[in-house]
Amino acid sequence: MLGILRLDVWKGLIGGAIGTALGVFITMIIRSLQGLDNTWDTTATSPWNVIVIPACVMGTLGFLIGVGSMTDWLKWMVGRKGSDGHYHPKPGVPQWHRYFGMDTNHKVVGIQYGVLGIVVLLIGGLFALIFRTELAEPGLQYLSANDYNSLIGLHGQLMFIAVLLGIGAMANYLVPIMIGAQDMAFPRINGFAFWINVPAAVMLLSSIFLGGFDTGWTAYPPLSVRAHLGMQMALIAVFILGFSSILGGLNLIVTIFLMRAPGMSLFRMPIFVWGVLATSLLQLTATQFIGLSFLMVTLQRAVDIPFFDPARGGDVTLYQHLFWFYSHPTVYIWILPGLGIISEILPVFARKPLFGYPFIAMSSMAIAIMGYLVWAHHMWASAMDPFLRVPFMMTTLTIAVPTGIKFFSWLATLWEGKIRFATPMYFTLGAIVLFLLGGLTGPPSALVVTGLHLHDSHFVVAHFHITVFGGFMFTYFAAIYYWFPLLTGRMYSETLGKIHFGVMFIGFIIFALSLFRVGLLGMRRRIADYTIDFGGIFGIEWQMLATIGAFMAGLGVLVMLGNLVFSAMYGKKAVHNPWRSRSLEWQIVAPPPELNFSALPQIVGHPYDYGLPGSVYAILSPDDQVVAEPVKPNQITPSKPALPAAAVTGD
Amino acid sequence: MEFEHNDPHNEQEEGQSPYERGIIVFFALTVFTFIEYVIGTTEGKILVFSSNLVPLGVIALLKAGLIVSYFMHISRLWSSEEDLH
Amino acid sequence: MATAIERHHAAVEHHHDEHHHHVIEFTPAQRLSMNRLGLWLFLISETFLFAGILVARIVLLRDEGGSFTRPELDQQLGLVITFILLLSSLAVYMGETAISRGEIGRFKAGIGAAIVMGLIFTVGVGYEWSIAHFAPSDGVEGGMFFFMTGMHALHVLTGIIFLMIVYWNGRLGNYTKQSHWGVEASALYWHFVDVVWVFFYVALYLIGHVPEVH
Repeated sequence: MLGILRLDVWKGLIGGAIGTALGVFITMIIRSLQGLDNTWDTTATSPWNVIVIPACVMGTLGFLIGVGSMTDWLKWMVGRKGSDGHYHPKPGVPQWHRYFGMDTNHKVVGIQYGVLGIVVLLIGGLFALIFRTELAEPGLQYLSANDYNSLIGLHGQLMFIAVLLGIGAMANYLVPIMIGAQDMAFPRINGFAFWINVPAAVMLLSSIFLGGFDTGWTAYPPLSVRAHLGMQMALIAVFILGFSSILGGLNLIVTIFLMRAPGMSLFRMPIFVWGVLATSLLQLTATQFIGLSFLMVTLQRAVDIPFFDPARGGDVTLYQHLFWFYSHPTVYIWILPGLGIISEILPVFARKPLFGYPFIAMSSMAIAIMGYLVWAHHMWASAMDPFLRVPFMMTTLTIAVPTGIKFFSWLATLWEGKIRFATPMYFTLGAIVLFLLGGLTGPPSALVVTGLHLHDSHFVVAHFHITVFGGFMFTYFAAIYYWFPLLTGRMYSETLGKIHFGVMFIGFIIFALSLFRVGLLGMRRRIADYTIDFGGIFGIEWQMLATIGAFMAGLGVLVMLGNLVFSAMYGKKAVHNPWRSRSLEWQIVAPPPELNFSALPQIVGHPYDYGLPGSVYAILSPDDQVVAEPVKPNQITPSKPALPAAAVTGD
Repeated sequence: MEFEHNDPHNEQEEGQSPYERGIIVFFALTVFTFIEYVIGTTEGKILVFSSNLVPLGVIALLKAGLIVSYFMHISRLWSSEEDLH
Repeated sequence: MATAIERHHAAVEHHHDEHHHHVIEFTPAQRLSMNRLGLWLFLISETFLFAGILVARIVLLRDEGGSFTRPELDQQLGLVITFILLLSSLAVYMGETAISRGEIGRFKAGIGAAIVMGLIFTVGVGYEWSIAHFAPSDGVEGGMFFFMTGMHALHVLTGIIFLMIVYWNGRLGNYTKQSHWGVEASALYWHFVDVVWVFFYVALYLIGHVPEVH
């Protein structure tokens, strides 16, 4: 039982506490020497707006050093030899301990991302359910206005982290195996980038105890300059989180460009890798802008630099430009890997080649590049020069072209396919439906004439949520079910998976349609209380219906968690390559060994030539090739014995 | 081995040692900086430009280009040859 | 079929026996090109940060007529510290060139000189801070000056720390003619910091005019 005390994460927490305390005391001593006030309070003008900055920075550093994520670098700095970067089991220490400490193996880091992502997702989802319950009926029943505001802001920022963590999970676990590499290009940076998320999430959550903040996740000044001390914590947390995004993106780009197996040209990569590449480019560059905009607010709060104070020459609209230059591309950061997963899963379940592979690959890049040119469509109602509205409206509508390419390619892939239905396929099709609804409600928000009317209404909230559910959440769930047999070597419960899909899909549709309705009727977002009677359907108010739908979606997530935990421990052993995919990750033994391949695989064909007789994708070393067990009659999905040659072929 | 650096002799055959090249680049950077200083501290209109943003920005870009291509060896990104020193 | 099952079992055992899987090592040249691409991507990322700061400066520092303004600074001091930073870039370049030719003495001289000049630059900026007759909170001109020089000085200090680590490791003999990625990396970072100052110097000291009344 004492073994649990030896987890490295405790050392990290102790390091973080020491760092934070040092930061606080050193700053307080310096301030006292300068004759400055250090009185504790949580108002916007509190001296603690200054003190928390070094406290957070040193706390993060303390955590990262304590958890061991910088040990090798510190050794190198003083001229000593670091570790070899590989996992060596220590006698007497159980294997699972490595998931609670610094680890450089991309599969361990991927799981760490995934688990932390689910934890943050649950907290963020819980916050959403709390304020959604408040909104079910007019009047304030459960929350104070300030708590309501803090909860909506924290819901946004926590989900923001949860989605980035989910992408980190998929990209880290899958990309190196998919491109036939042993690991990421910079394994130490990979582990380091993960562990940044932990102190950042803690700091973000701590804001709720420091007065919270009432700006929503966007933190627009001048409100964010006047918000409680919690605002400062949230700003610093997101700033520090940015390092993780940037380093993660950088690592993936180098991995994808320089570590592909022999024969794997860019256009022979699995399509998911293209999605990750586009996302990584955005993460690498755009993230700096949210860091910059938040840093400027932080500095205005701490040392009163009047960036956003018009009385002293500042400009509040500047903040919105800087902020949306990241925060619009961030939506593409979220959905591009998700759309990649749709393109990845559809051909496997339709047993047909992916229609127009190069166009899908290029449409991801096009979305990424055009994503930079649309940010001001969030600002129709701002003080921006009205002249800018029409060009930004046009660039925004043009995004529909590469997105449309993806939709038509998916339809063409399904066309006349031998479609099999299993939970991943249900979620993929659900994602397409939701993303289509999200896409169709985009133009009304993007056109200036209607956008001005819909601005800041629940219509926009619903549009955003349905897009992210279609583009990210449902594809993420599809990915979890699809790759679960690879991660664990066991099969999840198909029945529970379908229940999850049914409850979540219906619940979310109810939620989104109700929100569209009340939004059109004039319900503003970020409003704790309202008096209008929005009417309803079947005798249930729209707002109540939205709450019911949200709870159904939450229930779906709980069903999934139960399914995953139970199946990972007691599930049936999965057959080798249960979906009969041609991709590299399914050809090796599940769960994959510590080092993915004993020799680099040779790529000799295209990845999605399903149903083309005689087509070959990859030739693996005989050591890596797994020969499937004979088919049992009542397996969940049919599997046939692998061909005698050690080759991945179409069928 | 493609990784080994070329002998200094080979580089000198090109007629210019990397040390000399560095000094020439530094000299050019200094000259550009003085031109910038003169433009920036001169009152009134510079040539045809209503603001000195454009000429100063162009010179700054030139300076950055010199540093990026000669001091930072950006070409090493796409050529593994080490004789670009 | 029996052989198939045997092979499967063999594969599973294989999975438990890690010694069968060998690390696929990279050649030093592959490793170097990965490191280079990684560092350049980091610098591209940083470029976006500093470009954003420059955009903020362009947007904020204007007078009522829309023409650019700048904070009131000591022009001679600015020119001198700019010259010193350029010179430190040359010193780092010399040091890196020296190690790539195996000349340890020149390498240490170059890096050491760059560290000293970096420190002089930082002191110069600090002096400019102390003689400035405006506070960060007085207006955007002053605020932007402290913000930009502060962000840049933070990177200069980081660069000095990197150069010190490189100098120390060079003294320990950890760099050779063939293998000196640490030197190259810190040199690239230092030059990048110099490039940033190329633009920040112009943006803070030279573009626009000093407004008449604060």
